[in-house]
Amino acid sequence: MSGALAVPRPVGLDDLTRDRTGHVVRRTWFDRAMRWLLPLLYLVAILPILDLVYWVARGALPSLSLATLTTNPSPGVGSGGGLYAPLVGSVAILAVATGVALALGFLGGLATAEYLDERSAGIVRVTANIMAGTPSIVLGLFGYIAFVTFFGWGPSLAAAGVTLGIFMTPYIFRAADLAYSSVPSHIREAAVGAGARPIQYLLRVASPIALPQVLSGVFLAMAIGVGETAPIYLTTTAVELPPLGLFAPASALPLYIWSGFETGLVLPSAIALAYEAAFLLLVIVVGLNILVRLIAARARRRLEGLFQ
Amino acid sequence: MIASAPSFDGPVVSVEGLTVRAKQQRLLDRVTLDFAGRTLTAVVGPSGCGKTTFVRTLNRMTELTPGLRVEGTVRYLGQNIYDRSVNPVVVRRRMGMVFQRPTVFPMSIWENAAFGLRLVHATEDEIDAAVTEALQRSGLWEEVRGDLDRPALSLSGGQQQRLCIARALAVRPRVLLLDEPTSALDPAATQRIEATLQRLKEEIVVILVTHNVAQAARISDRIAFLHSGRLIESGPTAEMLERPREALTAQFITGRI
Amino acid sequence: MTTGTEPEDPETINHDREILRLEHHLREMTELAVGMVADGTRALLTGDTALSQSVVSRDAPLDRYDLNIETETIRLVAVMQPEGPDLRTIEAILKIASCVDRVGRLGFDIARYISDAKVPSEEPGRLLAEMDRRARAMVEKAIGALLARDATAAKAIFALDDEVDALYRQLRQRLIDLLRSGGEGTERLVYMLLASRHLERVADNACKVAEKTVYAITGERRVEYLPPRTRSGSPPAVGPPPSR
Repeated sequence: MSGALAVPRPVGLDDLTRDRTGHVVRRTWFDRAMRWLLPLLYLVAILPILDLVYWVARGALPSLSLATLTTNPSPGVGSGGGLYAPLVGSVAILAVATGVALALGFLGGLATAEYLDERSAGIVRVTANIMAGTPSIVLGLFGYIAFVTFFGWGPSLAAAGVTLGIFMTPYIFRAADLAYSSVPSHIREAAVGAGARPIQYLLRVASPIALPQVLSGVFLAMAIGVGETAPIYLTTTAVELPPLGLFAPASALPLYIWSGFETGLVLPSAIALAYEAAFLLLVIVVGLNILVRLIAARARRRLEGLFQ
Repeated sequence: MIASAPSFDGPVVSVEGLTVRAKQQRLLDRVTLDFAGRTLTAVVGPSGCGKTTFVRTLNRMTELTPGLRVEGTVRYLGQNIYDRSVNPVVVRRRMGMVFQRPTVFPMSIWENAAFGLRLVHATEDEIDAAVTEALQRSGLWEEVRGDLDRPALSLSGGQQQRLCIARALAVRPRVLLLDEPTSALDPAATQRIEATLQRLKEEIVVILVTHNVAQAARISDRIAFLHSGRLIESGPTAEMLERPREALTAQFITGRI
Repeated sequence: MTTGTEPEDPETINHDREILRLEHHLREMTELAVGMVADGTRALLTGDTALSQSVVSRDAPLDRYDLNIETETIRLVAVMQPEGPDLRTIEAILKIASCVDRVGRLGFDIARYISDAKVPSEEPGRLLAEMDRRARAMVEKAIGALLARDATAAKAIFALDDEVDALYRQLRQRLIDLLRSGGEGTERLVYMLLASRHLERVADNACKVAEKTVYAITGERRVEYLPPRTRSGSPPAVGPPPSR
């Protein structure tokens, strides 16, 4: 070993309070400030949400009761009554939308992850991203033109559901695509090496690993979709009764927030209804998010050690 | 080539003129080699010599990588596995493969071992017998017999690898392919797997890719040395290690390359 | 494989350097052993007691060399886990070291035959000196072939052994004739007879060294390039000696 390239030993290497050039190293004021700055910023970030929940609850809880959930709204928007019809309507629209989004998104994501070549997969993914970025009001307009008018369904559960479904599809697509893509390649190799046919691999190996992530994505999409107003605003109308059939009009909670607010400018008592609808929506969204957390936690435990 | 002859005389696996190309580069160059029954052959060579590619052509796993072109023949009991009439899935079910890292599925120990059998829709009784036997043959039985429903991921690395061997053995293959199975394991776990392989070579054909010459020395009957995609030399282990004919072989086994 | 001019790469455990070191020790041991044979024969021929003592005193260092080489070899086997050419070389060095040790001890034995009696003829002395020269040359050539990795040079040693054997038979016959005819210097003559036997053994050991050298370099064993060996321990005089 030659000594020709020996680097002169830096000063202060043995002194733990100095750096290589001999300067004393001290924690700067910035480093120290970080210790309390970051928790503070965290509080600042969640403050709006806490504030939101507080105000909505304050407005809704005084007049919220079991009756609210079980009686239909009185005729003439904003004149009082319960939220039974909008609640059922939201759930029904969400159900239809989830069905549509699952059909398009899950199969699309699965196909993209497993079967498409790199180029086609890229094109499909870009398309999904564009869809996700489309303003929801534009989607609503599309729904109006296509389903309400062209197909002749009129403002209905079907129209709103399908439109909302198209809105939700990119989220489920992404979840499915990522979930199946992230099945570790060594697992896939092992399954193929053991003689699994493609369908057997999908059913026995890939899906048990990917489904929790897909399910999380579905519930997340549902949490987003339940509160979207624009896709349903143009495709259904607020009625006082729960939907009578697939092609009958269906009410929805976001519509009542909207109309309650509008009417409330003139009729103050209508505001309470808006608050109640908002509160219900929050409850549903929070509930879905909790479900997502539970699924993720259970999956993490089951799949521990797989992704090394 | 359709039906297999029930009694076949020649080597169990026979490779002839095997060449694998990827984008103008030859990963394997006209490799010709036979593997007889009840023998453990170690395929050795420096990194990038093509030994992993080689063993993957034996069960058509090369088809998982797009852009690989395979020429030449690989015969299993006399039939060319690359023939158009042969389904790669069937080929893979006749041979077991164990990889460098343990590849247990997120299922119970039992289900992992039974995986290959479930693929062919074996009956519960068949699975029962075969899984027990496979776990015994791979040396894992005593350690797991108490709780076979435990998640396989809760086993140690060495145990997981033995489970992978059991999974491969459960379908009673004639050939076991292993690609550096002990690279990721500590010496104790390595020793246990080597002992298992030594027992197995009395029954089936074992083809072991390893970069560890000492391992080849310990357990193999024959050594095949690959370098830059070419088969440089092959022969009985003691001969290869005491008196290799090729200078390149001598350089490799003495650690010069 | 053992070129001392390669730049040292600190990343690898340098097997070549280890083996070179072993060979270096072996060369030193050989110089010592061969010196013992040379001086022992001269002491016998000139009756030089001081020289004889000097040879005797070299037995201890010779033994130390043998022990060191053996220890070092075992250490290398454990640490290097040698294969192929390295394995053969290390095994050969071990065997060759014991051959060289025997050569030195033969010199030691010869040195202990001290007598200043006068002998009736000059001829045995000349023949003995010639045997000594040739046997020593064989040992040096054999070790030289090992260090130079020259299998051909090693194989050439076996032909030289035939010449030494012929010399030995000639000398033995001469000494037996002289002893039979009576006369003075019997003790000296007997010592010369014994010494001639020892020198023949030195040549045999040189052959053994050559054999192991060929094995180390090419892996060939003796049977692959020489006719089978027969022992030449036949009784002297009457009948024609058996051919080797």
